[in-house]
Order: sequence, then C-alpha cells, then structure tokens
Amino acid sequence: MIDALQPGEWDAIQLSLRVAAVSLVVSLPFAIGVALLLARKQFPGKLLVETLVHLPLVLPPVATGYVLLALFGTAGPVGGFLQNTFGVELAFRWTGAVLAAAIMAFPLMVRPMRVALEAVDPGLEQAAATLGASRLRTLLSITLPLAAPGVIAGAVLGFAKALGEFGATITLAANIPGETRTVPLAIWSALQTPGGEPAAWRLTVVAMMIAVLSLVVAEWLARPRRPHRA
Amino acid sequence: MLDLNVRLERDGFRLDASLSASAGVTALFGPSGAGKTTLAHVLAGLLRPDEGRIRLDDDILFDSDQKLWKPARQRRIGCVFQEARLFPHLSTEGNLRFALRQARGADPVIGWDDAVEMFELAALLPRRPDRLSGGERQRVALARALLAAPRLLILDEPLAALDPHRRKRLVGYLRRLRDHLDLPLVYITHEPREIARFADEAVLMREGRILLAGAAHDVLSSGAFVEMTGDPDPWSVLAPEVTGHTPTGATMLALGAQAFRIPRIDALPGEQVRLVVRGRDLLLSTATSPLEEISIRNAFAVEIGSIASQDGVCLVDLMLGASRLALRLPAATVRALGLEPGRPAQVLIRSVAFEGRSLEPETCIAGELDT
Repeated sequence: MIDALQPGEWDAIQLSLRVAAVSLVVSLPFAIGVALLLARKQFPGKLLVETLVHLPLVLPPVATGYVLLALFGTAGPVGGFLQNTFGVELAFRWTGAVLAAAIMAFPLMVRPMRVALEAVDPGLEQAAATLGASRLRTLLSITLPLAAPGVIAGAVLGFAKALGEFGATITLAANIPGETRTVPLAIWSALQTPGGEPAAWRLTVVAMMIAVLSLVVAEWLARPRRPHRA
Repeated sequence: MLDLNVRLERDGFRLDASLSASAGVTALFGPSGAGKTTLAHVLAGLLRPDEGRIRLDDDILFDSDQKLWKPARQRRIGCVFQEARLFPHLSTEGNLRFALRQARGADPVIGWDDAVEMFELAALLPRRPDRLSGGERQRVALARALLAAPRLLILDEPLAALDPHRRKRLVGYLRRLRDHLDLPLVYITHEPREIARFADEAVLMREGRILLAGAAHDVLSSGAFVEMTGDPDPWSVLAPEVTGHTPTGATMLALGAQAFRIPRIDALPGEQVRLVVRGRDLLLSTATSPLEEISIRNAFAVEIGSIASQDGVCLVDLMLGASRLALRLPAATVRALGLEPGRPAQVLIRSVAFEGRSLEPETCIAGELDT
C-alpha cells in the first residue's frame, strides 16, 4: 500500500527530526530550571511564572504563533535585535520552527519534571549539603538522578510535541518545502493536493513509527537501575 | 570549641538558646518539641536563625550583626539523621564515595578502610539502602558522615528508629566512634540512659530554651532533670579501665586503686568503659570495717562529696576515684548516719549496666585472677 518515500517527504522527515531534536536540546536546561524553580522555591510572582509557562497549552496554537511572529519577526522587538546583533533570523526559517516547537512543548516538559522533582525528599539534599556537596553537585548526583523518570518523561513528551507541532509553526515559520515544512505540515499539504492521500498515509505511518520508537527509548532510559557505583 | 547563641521564631515556635560545647560528647536532651532538632539544624547550617552568633573554633559560622551566614555545605559539620537519609539510588559504596569526594583537601577524620572496618560494612558495600536493615542504614550513615571529614558531628537520635536488639548493636558502634576518633559530637536524645552511656556534657532543653547545661553527671542528678523525666532516681557513670579477661569468663576492671570484676564484656584491655549505675542500686554504709555476710559481693571505698538537700530529700554525691556516684536519701537518714562532705564510707553496688546489659560487680584484691 505504501510506496517508497518521495524526496520531498524525506526532506520533511529529516527536517522534523532536526527541528524536534534541536528544540529538545535547547529547551531542556530551561525546562529543568523552571521545573526546579516551581518545585523548590516560593517567591513573589510564582503564579505569574506558572501562568506564562502554561499559556501555550491553553492558547490556540495559531495565536501563540502569531504572538511569536510579532515578537520574533524581523520587524518585532526581539527578532530585530537578534537579526541585527547575531544575524539570526527566525521568521520563515527552520530556526523559527524550532522556536515554535520549543515554546509549544515547554509546558508539557515542565509538568512531569516538576512533579518528579517535588517528589524528591529535600532531606536528601540537606544530607548532601551537610556532607559538603555544592548545589550543582547535589543537583547532578542526587536530585536529577532521583527525578530521572519524570525528567525523561518530560523530555519525551516535549520531543513528541515538537514533532507534531502545527499551528504555531505554520504561523511563525510558514510552510516552505525543505525549510519549514515538517511532517505535520507535509501531511496537511498532501491532503490539500488532489491525489495526495498516499503521500499523507506514508508520512502518517512514519510519524507513528517515530512516536513508538521514542516511547520505547524513553521506557529504556527510565528503566529501574541496578545500583551504580559512583 | 563551639559557641552558639541564637534566636529564631518560626510558625509560633521560639528558639532562644545559647550553649558552648568542647571536645567530647555533648548530649542535647529534652522532650519532643523542645527544639533539639531545630537547634541541630541551626548548628548544621540547614536553618538560618533570626539573630545571634555561632562560632566553631576560630570560624564564625553565623553573625547576624555582620550579616554573615555560612550554609551547611561550607561548614564541615556532619549530621546523622534519625532516618539515615541515605541516597536511595546509590549503593552503600556509592553513598560513601559521595562523601569521600567532598572531603578532598580537608584533614580526614577516618580513612576508607578504617571506616569500612569500624562499622563492618564490607558485606554491605554493593547493596542499595532499600536492601539494608535500619541498623545497617545507620552504620552506613555514620561512616558516610565521617568520610566527609567533619569538624563536628551531630547525631540526631540515631537509635530512635531502631528496635531494642538493633539499638543494642548500634550502641557498640557509637562507643567505638566516641572512643577512637578525636571528634566533638553533639548527641540528641530523649533517653536519659543514653546521656549516661555517652555524654561528657549535657544540655537540657524545653520549649525552645536551655534549662541547664553542664557536666553530664551534674545534669543527670539535677532537680531540673528529675522534674523533666519524672524519675527521681539519679543516674551515674563509672568509668573503669579494663585490665584483662579471665579464662572463666569475667572481665577485670580497675577504678583508681580498686579492682573488681564483672561478667565478660566486649572491650579490650586498656580500654576505658562506661558503666551506668542507678541510685537505687547503691547501698551506702559508714562502717569502717569490711562488710561481710551480705549477698552483695562488693564494697567500694568512697568519700562523701556534696550533699544537696531539698524538701526532706538529699542528693548525696560519692567520690569513687575519678568517678562520682549519686544517690537519694531521706534527710533523716543523712542526719542519722552523720553524713557530711569529706567523710569516708563504703558503697555496695547491686548492679551496673554496660550497653544495656545488667551486670553484678564483684570487688577483689588488685591483680587477683579468677581461679
């Protein structure tokens, strides 16, 4: 039923993987940082931070994309600065697709990480401190390993969301073949084309395979460990 | 040398404490809710007081006037918590190595091999904390705290979560820790016997305040202590030296010029052991001739120390070499016997306790061996 993938479809798959991977790598430290902040600290304006983080989850994706376009477009305040200072262009570029995917995936990454971090006994971090461990060492050797299943779950959710992101991506980065046409955009485009159903099916099957594979990898990463010696 | 003077108010609880502790074991004693653990957290650097000062040797850890606060990770004050707090994702070895890595650059308190040997951890090294018993966890926690090279070690009721059998075993490890390492200890407890067993100094706490601090013996026989525990019978400690073991299963001990033996205990010749004595197990006689034809086969020559009288009851202190024994007698008895400071007397000791084991001492001529 499924013919070999066409070159344009391969481009879309590779682009999707690249966008999702880069989005994950870039947003992971921020997601862990925000999750730690929300899990461990009480500070004025915490509700505001929580709301901002969760906003992309409840806002229509197209609206999020439009806000991003207004901010990061060449004429936008942040976009203009980035282009003039670093020569980085986001709107209508694959980097824009990365930004859109990262923003949309962010709340999905933060939530399980926060829950897992909240479940780590602060008493263990205190114990590490009385042994003389720095904050960074405590975080890397104690807190994060103990929260690993939640952190991995968040990363996988974020990766999957980045692969599937549509609304914000098409608004900020448009639907340019080979530049910003990721798998979901390619499926949508195929469906807009008469006789495009086989192409849509092929891409859908590939998307499912990637999704299943990432779930398997996540399960493997979060498997119960034998004691590891420091 | 530790000097602490802090005030803290949290959720309706007020801590207002000042204390100093020197080398040896300082016991923090009080009912639950007295603020012992809060004070320990302040000392460890886990909780910042509102005002005051904390100094350890020449190192100022906290000074509210100078807005100076060293957090726990910069203090090198070890902590063994009631629940051990081992890192659950690391094996025993991983837990210990974590601590050892933090000790780099500091004077070690104990080496790896010695720690493994002292707490008998060789068989536990590959195991994770969820595969350890409560007592084993505490041993690992003790070794872990020591390997991080602390300048002072806080023990927060290390025995509280253990059943009596495991408690008895851990006491032996704590004794080794106290006797073999030159490390000041702050020992939190609500068990009077643990003060008698371990402490050189004791601090009584109630409702966030320090009621009394001083030598363990004085605190144990104080009115404040009696009032707090509701047990008027005073506690004392004999600290004889082990001179040897006999083939018939007795341990020979020397207390100043006096020799006596008890059923064999686990201690090495030359070691000083602590025997806990209750006042009710003491029998005082002012007779000058040897006491004979009685069932208790010991008599120690003592000198009456101080006599404190209150409400018709006297607390009498007896000097036995460098040790002191306390007992309570009715004021009328004290008068009838003509007891006064400096007067020689004899005391019979019905039983002493060593690490929870009750033993009957038997005096003998110095150097005499069991035949």
